[in-house]
Amino acid sequence: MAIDMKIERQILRRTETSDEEIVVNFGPQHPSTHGVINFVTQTTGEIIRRSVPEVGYLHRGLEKIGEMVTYPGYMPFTDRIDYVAAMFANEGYALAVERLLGIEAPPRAQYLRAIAGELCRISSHFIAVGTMATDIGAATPLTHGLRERESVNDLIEELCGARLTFNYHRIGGVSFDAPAGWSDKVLRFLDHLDSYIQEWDRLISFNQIYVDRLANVGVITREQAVDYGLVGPNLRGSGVQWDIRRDLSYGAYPDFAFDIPVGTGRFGTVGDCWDRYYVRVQEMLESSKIIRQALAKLPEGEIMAKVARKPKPDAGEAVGRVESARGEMLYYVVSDGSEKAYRLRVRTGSFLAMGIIEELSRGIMVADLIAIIASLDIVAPEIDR
Amino acid sequence: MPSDYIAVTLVILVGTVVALQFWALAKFVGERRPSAAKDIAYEAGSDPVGDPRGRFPVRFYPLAILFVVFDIEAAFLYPWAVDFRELSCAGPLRAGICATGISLLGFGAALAFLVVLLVALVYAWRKGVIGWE
Amino acid sequence: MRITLGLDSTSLSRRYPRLAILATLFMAFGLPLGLYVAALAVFPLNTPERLDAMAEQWLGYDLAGSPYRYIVYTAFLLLVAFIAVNYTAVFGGVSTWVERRVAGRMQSRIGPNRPGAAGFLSWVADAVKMILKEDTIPAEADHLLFRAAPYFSMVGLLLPFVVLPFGEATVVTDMNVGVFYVAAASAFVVVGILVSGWASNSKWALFGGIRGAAQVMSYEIPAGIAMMVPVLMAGTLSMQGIVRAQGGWPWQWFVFQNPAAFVAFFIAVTASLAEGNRTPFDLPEAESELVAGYHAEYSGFRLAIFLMVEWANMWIMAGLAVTLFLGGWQVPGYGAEDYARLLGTGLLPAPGWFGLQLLSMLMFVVKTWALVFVFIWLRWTLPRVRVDQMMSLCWKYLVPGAFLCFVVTLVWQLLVPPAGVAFTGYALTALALFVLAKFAVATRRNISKVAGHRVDLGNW
Repeated sequence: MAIDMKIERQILRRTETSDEEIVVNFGPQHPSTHGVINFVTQTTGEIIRRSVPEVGYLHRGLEKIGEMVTYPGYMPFTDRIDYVAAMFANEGYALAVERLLGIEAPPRAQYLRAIAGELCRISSHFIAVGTMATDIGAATPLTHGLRERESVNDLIEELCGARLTFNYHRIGGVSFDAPAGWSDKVLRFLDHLDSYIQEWDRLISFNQIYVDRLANVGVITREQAVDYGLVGPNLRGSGVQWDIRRDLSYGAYPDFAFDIPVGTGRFGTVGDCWDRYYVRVQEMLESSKIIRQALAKLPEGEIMAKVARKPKPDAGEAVGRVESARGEMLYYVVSDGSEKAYRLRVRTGSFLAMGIIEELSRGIMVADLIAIIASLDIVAPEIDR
Repeated sequence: MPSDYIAVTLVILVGTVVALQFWALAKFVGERRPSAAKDIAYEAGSDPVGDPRGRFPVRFYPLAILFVVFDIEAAFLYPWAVDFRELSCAGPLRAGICATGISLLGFGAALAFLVVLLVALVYAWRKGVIGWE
Repeated sequence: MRITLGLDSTSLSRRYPRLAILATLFMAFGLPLGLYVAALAVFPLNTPERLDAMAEQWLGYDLAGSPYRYIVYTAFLLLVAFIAVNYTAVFGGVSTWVERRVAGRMQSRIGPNRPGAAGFLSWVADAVKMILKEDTIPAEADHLLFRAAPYFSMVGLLLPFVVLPFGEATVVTDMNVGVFYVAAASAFVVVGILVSGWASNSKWALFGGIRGAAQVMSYEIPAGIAMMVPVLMAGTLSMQGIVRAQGGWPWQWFVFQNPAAFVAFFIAVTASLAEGNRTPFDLPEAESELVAGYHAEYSGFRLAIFLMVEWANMWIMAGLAVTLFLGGWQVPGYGAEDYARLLGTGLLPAPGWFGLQLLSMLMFVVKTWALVFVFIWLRWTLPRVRVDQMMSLCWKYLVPGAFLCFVVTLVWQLLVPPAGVAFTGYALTALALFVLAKFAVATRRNISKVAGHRVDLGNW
């Protein structure tokens, strides 16, 4: 891996055709790369010729760890795959192992998973849209977003005792039931959220400078988005209505009615940075809808299925796919009949988004590169795992 | 008045002295632990590649020319702006009001000057100097 | 060498709360007030003629005929310059605190609140910290230019202070080419930016330096032309002359005297925001793009100088706009004859004169702080524009707009009778008040939507 990076850099240096061109490293220690990523960028003044992402700085071998610990023992590690939206990383792994074991979580657990997941999506999207505003140069929205995220964190803390790395899901259910009076607090927050999104729109979404900076920038066409295998809001921003929650439904999601917001090209072209941004804003409202329905229909009963302490699934393989805040999150688990996985593979949305950056970066300006990176909502640990 | 410029010189002097006094203070109390890694220019954590002091794109050159043109023009307009009422009045001013009609020589000449410059701006605009296209 | 002070401001102010409050009061009111009083005491003496008369009357010494006349005068000017420079430094410091508190309030957090009452002394703590920091120079940097760059910026900041009138008699020197001088001198800051960007040998710094040069150069044009509108209206380039041509009441300010000046005011403020590298034009140091831009390689006291220049520049920007468009130090209800009457013919003016002078300084300070607040407020509200947008805003909108304002003002000055000007003054003032009232109502409504019918000022 390390050798490859050197080669990449040498290629960049060799392809310098004019002496006006310089190679700049955006990262790994850069305020707007959202973690330790390096964008090796060839520029002529403000115009970028191309920018190649160099990933791997945060590689912790999480897939390998999955082959070295027991199935339940891996659950806390999944938190570290995407710590901004750890609920989905938990859920995907739980789903995969449950399918491997041939069990299913009880209905109440599935509803709680949906509620916790959507709360987590709201909090993750607040980070995404807030840091995006910061990258465009407006410092205030992020702090307001963090304030709202705090409320979500408080709610999730009451549910499972953790605020960032939740470790909430278990194979066959969830670890804690909702405490008494929790659903009222959630509803109160959702009421606030629904009106707050309007305030957010007034604060930043429709700000003229903000729109000018994002509209028609980093346009990903429908075909490009599909070809590059983009997932989640990045795919939907290009107008493709694809959502694992609806199209490959899992857990309690078939019971809920919700819309899937897609990019409309409201201020520019379909698939520009603003579309991807606004899909996230709208998804927060959809999440709110889902949580309301789930709380209304929340069934009584167990929260854990009967699972052995150290489950030993039969030899075989299973896939768990969930719609994470950053798009489809896929766990592929292969069992050889022992209490540890034989092979574990995680496919994440941010990693897929990295592929298109080189394509998008041709001929744009330095500031646009930052906008594009922000609009793809990259979380560095999720790329490198 | 020359005394004005004495004041300017003195302010420059005092400003530099204040800045130098910061320097002396920092020299005296500031920490100093140089290391080779610290002396590398910052490039977001990677070792810098290539020389940043290469040539910079020519786009800035027409812009600088444009600046020179317009700034000189502003410099020419300032003195005219001070006296424009006297200059643009056909007769003498009475209590600051021009009763005799506008003189084309004073007023029109400045307008013609402006128009020539605006033509230059439009030309530069059409040529795409402005706006990085 | 390592010096540990052994106490930090936080624990100090915890241990001695009363001391902290006293220190805060001194720094917040004593220091600026002292500077103002010193300015008031020294600035009026600041003409060779008055010095001559004083020496004659009090010392019986014929200074006018003495060969040392200009040395004495220079010594006095040195004192004046010292006060002005100190004022700059204090303003630069205080405004960082104000900015951080306002930003905290806007971002629904608290902001600095530890050292001193309401965290006021944090700017002093910052300054001390900056000086204690290691001062590094990249090995590949151009050492001479790298060291020189902050001084360029510092000088560029101080030069406009020479002609900025703080009050009727409080100005370092009232140059007859004041506005022109400001336009020339304020461009000095960009030399510091460009030199630091070039000398650092860092790509971020270079980007920042080039962006800064392009930006300040471009916006110099609309700023210069918009600043010509008050010159046209006053018929003089002297800053004091321009203020004297206006009046104390809003409808006597140039900004409301003709519609073109009203537009020119906004052009001038926008352009000066760009010249001062404030958001939305903070491209030369765009944090999310260029990390810190032109001062990416600077640390310690050199960085402190750059930052001080940046914040103190707000005073220049706001002060210029206030002087040229918003009536400067003019006190409502007092005209030139009141100053002359109170000054009298004697050597020392009546006490009332000093009172009136303080009042006029207060007017200027209040207006300028109000505008500084607007700058701060814009910074924490707006995103940053892109380079091409910055350029096209300047050359496609502001430059033609400024030209148009210039021409309209010409015609206006020649054709509209004084009654028409007075009517425009009332009408535009009423319009501005109406817009302000609408704005206040809308803000109140937005606040009450979130916080109920109560404005929480608790965290001040």
